[in-house]
Amino acid sequence: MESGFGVQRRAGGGSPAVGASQRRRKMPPRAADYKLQVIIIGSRGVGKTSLMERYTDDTFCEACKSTVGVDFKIKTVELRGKKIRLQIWDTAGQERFNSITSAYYRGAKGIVLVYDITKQETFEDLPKWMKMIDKYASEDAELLLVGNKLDCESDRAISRQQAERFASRISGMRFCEASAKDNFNVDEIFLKLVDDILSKMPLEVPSKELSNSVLSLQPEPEIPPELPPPRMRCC
Amino acid sequence: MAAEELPSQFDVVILGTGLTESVIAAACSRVGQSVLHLDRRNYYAGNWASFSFNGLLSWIEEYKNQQEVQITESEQVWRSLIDEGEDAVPLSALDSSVSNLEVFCYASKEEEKEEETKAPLTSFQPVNAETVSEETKSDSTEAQDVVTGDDTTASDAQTPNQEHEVSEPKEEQHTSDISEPSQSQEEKESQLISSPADPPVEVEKKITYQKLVKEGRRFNIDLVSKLMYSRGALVDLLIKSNVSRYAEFKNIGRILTYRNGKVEQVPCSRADVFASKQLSVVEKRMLMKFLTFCLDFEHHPEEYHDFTEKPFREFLKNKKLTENLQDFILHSIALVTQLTLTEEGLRATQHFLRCLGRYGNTPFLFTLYGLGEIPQCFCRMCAVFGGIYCLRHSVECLVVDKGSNKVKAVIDTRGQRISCSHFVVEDSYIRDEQRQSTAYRQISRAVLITDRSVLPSESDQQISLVTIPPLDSSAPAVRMVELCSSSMTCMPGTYLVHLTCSSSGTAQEDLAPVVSQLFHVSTIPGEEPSEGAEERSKPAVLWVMYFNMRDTSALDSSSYSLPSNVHVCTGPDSSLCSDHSIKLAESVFHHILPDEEFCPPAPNPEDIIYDGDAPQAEGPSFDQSTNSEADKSQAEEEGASHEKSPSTESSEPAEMDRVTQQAPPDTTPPSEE
Repeated sequence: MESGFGVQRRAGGGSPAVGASQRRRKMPPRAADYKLQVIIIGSRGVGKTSLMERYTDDTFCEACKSTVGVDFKIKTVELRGKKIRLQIWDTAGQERFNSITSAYYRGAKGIVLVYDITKQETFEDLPKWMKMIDKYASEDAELLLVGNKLDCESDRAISRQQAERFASRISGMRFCEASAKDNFNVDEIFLKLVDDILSKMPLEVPSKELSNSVLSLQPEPEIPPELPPPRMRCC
Repeated sequence: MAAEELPSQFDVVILGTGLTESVIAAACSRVGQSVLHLDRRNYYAGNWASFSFNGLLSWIEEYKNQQEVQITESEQVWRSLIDEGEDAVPLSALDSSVSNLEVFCYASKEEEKEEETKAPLTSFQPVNAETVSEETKSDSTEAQDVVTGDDTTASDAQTPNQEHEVSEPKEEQHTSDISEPSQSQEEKESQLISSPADPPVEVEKKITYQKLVKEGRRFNIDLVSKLMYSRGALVDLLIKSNVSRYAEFKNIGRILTYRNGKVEQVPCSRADVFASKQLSVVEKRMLMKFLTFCLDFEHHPEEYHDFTEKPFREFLKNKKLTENLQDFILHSIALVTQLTLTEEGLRATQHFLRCLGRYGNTPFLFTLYGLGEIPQCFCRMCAVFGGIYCLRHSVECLVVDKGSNKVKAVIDTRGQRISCSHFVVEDSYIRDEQRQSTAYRQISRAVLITDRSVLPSESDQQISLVTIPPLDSSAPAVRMVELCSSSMTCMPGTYLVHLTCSSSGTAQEDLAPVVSQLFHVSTIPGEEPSEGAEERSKPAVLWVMYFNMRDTSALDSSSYSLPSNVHVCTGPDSSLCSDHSIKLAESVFHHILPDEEFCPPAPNPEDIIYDGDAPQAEGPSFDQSTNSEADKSQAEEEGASHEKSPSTESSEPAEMDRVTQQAPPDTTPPSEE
């Protein structure tokens, strides 16, 4: 039905045919007011990459089971009159054997914690992810709990109430359900998260705020580099 | 979740997630090799790891327990997987690379004194209580864990009694138990509500041990203490491979030395030299002349060819430099030893000078959150290109084909046989039976938590490199790095101090004298020196850990009797930079894949057009004209091989650099936690 279905998932940037005309610019874009880093975590197969790709590229690939070749994706949004460069990081598959680096959690202003509403164990894993967040993530990071695969309502294993209860126990954690496949609530998730982050930030902080002259070693590219196509080991 | 099985075939299996192994992993994965990367620990980076304070206490416990553990071999499990025509080479389960670990705590063991009476955790804000208690529980119970399902249920079932969990090393001088960490209403309120703009509440208060434990997650304590030269092999690799985007960095703000009982600034830039109060006018001229010569010494071989077989130290003497200057140059600029030969000393001096100004006033950078981030960054790159990661997972033995004497498979700790064409392994996994020699050098290390900088200045947020020349010429110089809280390695109000030297004896023997010289070490915990005492001007040590780490960097493949497709990665060396490890990684990579490029930058998407960017603005370097030209051509080169950003984007980091140079000593930002 929708053109997004069955589109071959591409690693790295979105489909070049679509992106090319958008990216070819004569004038450089106005620099972002804020650069925000958001990470997505959760157990294997819950749909982390799908949520991200649905949001940034409006694509969905049902067949792609495991994340290979996705580093991060960038989406620029306008919110509260500010231009925000949202950098969304993916786990690179390191959650498969419970081996996400502590470094992954650093610097994230927002954390999207995802479970699959049709798989009980992905919900039971949540305290484990919260532990990692408590240990390594910034105390100021905004948390968002997402129950994905709402399109599979008939296979639901976790009720809304259960999840709401979990989220209510954690200060400042929001909750919602979504479907990357049906593109339901996906934009809302990220926009709400960014909004929450912005509401906490002091009003006139420029994105180039020195905060003790923290350096990056090279300029960040506008669009992340195109990575080679994923090895077909998963499917 | 049921334990998932690993795929049974990989091109390369790598055991150990230290820096060298992680770079190799990233490089192999990057060019399309299938990589399985394992580590027996439940944390990344092995001996290069960094820990929260509580994580470090767990590491210390583990170290002590390991001394007592018997090795039981579960041979039956994997014997059955070995075929005719194959040999098994077992690997070591025990890690003996760390020794002589001692801990001393000088912080007060008193409970924190609060204005209001302490409220039990559960009576305050029910919504948050669980989170807070989750936090303190996880702080005090976990090592740098990646938690499995089992761990989760175990900790959920725990009682609030924290005494057992907050592990206290037995070597401490005072045996009082740590009471349950609790918070007053007021403190909790301020934690939850305070915006980043609030300054830390307890700036002047004595820091108790309990406070260190409570704020333990603010510490990131590296086992290895190194810095990065701004044009060194590691920085170059980070930029080339784009791995640098996974981390953030800070400049080392100043270089200091300890001379005549005082901590003094080392002049390294032209401006520094002229402004220095420690040098006489004659010395300034001498130093400038010498450093200028060093900048392109290779064009004047006549100046030093008589000394090529002699120590650099003698060459400096011959140049009629004063003792002061000889010390400065040897210990604080070239950063070489008394035995280092002249050409190497000159090259080191030149490297230092060329690194000035690339990002800041000194040649050095440090990673936010500690050095332990770097191996993790390379691991991420490996994962992005398809590498599979398993912590808490090791290799029991190698399966060697008798005919070719090459490894064809490994058997992991779950008894699974996994084929591979190459096996890369960190030294500490190798058994003595496979070694040609077991004589090692050692590195002496000390980690201190202190309350003040060794050289207070306008800004209390500086990272300093301090070199302490040896008292007698045969002993090695001691290198010290003092980290401020904005490096995200220690809690506000403290400094994290690392000392390193090549070992003569145990770490405590080698380093405690230096610690006593520069710091106030109390005899009674929590005691402060009396007013007016000389000790008062020195920073106080709150907590210190000494340990020795094996330095295997001198070993090479001839040091082991292992098949030719087994590549051993030695551990960290005692030098300031990581060049040795990076070069080793590159060498191993080229053994495995002679025709491939080492960590190439990611290719440009074809449909993106950018404007060329201007080279980054450079700060004041030692010799302005020469350096900025070199920088310009380098920036152009980088621009060509990397994707460029639109000119507005590229101006941002340049501006950041420029402002960094211009900014006076860092001021504490309002957003600091």
